[in-house]
Amino acid sequence: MTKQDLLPITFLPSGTTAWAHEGETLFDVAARAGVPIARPCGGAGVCGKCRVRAHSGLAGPTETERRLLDEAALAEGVRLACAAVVTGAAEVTVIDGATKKSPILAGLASEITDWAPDASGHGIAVDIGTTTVVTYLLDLEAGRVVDAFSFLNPQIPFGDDVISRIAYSSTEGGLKRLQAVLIDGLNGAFAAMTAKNGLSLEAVTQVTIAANTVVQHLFAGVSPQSIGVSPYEPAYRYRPPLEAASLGLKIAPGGQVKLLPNVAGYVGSDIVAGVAATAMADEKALRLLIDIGTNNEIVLGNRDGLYCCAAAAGPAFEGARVGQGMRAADGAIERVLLVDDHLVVETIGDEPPRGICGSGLVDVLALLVQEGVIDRRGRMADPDRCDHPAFADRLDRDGRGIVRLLLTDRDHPVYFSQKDVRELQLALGAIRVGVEVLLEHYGATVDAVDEIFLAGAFGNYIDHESAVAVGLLPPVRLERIRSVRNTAGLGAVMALASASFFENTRTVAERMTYIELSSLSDFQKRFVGAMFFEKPGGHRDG
Amino acid sequence: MSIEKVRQLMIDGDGDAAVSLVQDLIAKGTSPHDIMGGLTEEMEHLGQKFESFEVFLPDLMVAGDTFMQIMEVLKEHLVADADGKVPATVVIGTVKGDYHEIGKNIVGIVLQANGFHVVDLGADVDPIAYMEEAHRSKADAVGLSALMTTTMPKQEEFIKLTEEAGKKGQYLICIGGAPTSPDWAKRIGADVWSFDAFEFVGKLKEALKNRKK
Repeated sequence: MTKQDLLPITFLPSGTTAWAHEGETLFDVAARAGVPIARPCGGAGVCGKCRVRAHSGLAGPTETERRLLDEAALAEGVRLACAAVVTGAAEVTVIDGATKKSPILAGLASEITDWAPDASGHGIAVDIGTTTVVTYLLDLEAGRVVDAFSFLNPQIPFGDDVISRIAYSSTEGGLKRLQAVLIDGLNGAFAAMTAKNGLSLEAVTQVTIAANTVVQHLFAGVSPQSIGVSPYEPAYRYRPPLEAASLGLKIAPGGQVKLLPNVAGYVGSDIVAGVAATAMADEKALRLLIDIGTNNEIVLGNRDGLYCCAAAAGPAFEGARVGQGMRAADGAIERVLLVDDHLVVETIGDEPPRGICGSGLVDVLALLVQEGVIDRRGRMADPDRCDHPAFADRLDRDGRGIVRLLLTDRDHPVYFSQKDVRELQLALGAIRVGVEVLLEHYGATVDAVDEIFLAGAFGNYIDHESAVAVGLLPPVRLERIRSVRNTAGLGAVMALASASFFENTRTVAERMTYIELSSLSDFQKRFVGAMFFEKPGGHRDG
Repeated sequence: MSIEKVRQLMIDGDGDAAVSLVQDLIAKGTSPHDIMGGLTEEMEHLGQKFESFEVFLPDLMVAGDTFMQIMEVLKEHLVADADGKVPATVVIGTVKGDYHEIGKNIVGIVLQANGFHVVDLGADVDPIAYMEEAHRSKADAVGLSALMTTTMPKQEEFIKLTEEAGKKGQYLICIGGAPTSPDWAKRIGADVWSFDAFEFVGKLKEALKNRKK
């Protein structure tokens, strides 16, 4: 075949020209040419989020496009890449470009305006999570985040969760060991990040630390033992800046480490950083911050009052304890949709499916509840009795008799099981009760909440509609829900950049009233009660 | 057939209907022991389904609440009809420093559904309090639940306390909770360990039988 048979398609803004056969979709042409176009539904023609603009060279709008695009858009030449068919040479402007999934740096520096007047040199802001550690290198004079780096918390081999790390810290030499591996990890990250940017470690004069309370205690070498037993009190809430050298942290001689303040044993400086960074504490608007990670923390309030709680009930949304759960990485199923009675999954990086991550779990759960394949109490349909056109052939039982649903084709089998539903119910129940209790303490109903901030990596990818459908988020209008990414990291960066911001975190922490959910007399009843699913359009009941 | 209906009402969580049906059945001469037997069976059935995750906490809460409502009615008749067999008494609670009660409460319900007399001390229970209550109620067994790695040592503390007080062996010491294991039970010298409430009933009955020999 010669180029005379092919049609030139130029994609803007990149200017890439690709050669197309007549009758191909723009999607296929773009994919071959390496032009990134979003495909949230995998090209199934249901989401309407692969928009491009073109005025000639394409067959008229398909039925799919007429359904998903409004008339005004069609009149302006907006088309969907998955549906639009090439008939001639064309110039195509990509509207929905595929985004890179590395949100760490995006949107951080622009929000920082108040830099410390005497700042000089470089600093590193650190967000230490139970699972992931993120470090940000800042040029303090230029007021700019230069680089970011993340690594798995080296304490993981000593316990996946904070409780088991507390237990390990009480064994002989345990506390020192947990501190040492973390400091080693940070030194490694600091060295790599400075070297990459042509700096010496001596250039780093300041470090700020946001972390959950337990991990911050371990970092500082303070025993977190008291957090392990009721009333779960930390050994300290705030401590003055430390000498980096005294911790073994290798930065400039005399360099200081500032620890952001904690609120309680299970609401730490990472959450305080988030509240401060989002200005929740300063404004009139009533906001709900839900940070979903290995631990789940919730804050509700505004300038008149702030209440917070921890809703730790398993790291299900990070894929842990879920049979084929995995973290959000290539090959993880991140979207699950039903298209004309066909189950469609989308994986990260368009790789063959290897497992399912949090956003995929919430999607599949929402779908099964909506389609009646999961009942109010969370039971999956009996494989022998289900007659749902999309699911009947995909349901069976594993070797132990546990019902499961095949999400993929049989060459790359990924299952979602009845056990997985139960793990998710535990996490959902805790978060739901947490939100309810905070609303009661504040004295407001859900309708009074102006905005919901979903923080944490998981919160960034989750489909808001699915999250509301399964009850992970309260029933509010979707436009009131905002994914705010890593607010803990943002707060640590702002505390590094601005002395007054750092000072203010103490006031914020003091204003946050902590509520221990498990000590409420009716907690167990409410927790289990919150595990029921609401029938679409119906009411949750017992 | 009508006992079947009571069982169904228990699963469905229709307590009021279950209670009036039970009253009706007893008035018409159905043995309260047969009704109780049906409920015990149904609870076992739930236990089997719990293993395959077909049944979960919401189901157990609904069934448990209804069961307790039915028991309020059934209790007096069971006493009146007693054939001289004294039910074994089990003192249960969640250990000091730990507020997690769900698992322990399920244990309480399953034990009662199997004819045990249960004294529930709640959560955050001091080792001394277990010992005092065991003495007061002449317990056959004491059950200590711990849901955190950090509170498990309280189970060991209780066992040491009974040894020091010369009470070890007077009642069976049973432990459970997500972070516990058969190894841990062996290490601290507990008599019974079980994975969940349903397995516990069987193991406890067995251990009590062996103890009487």
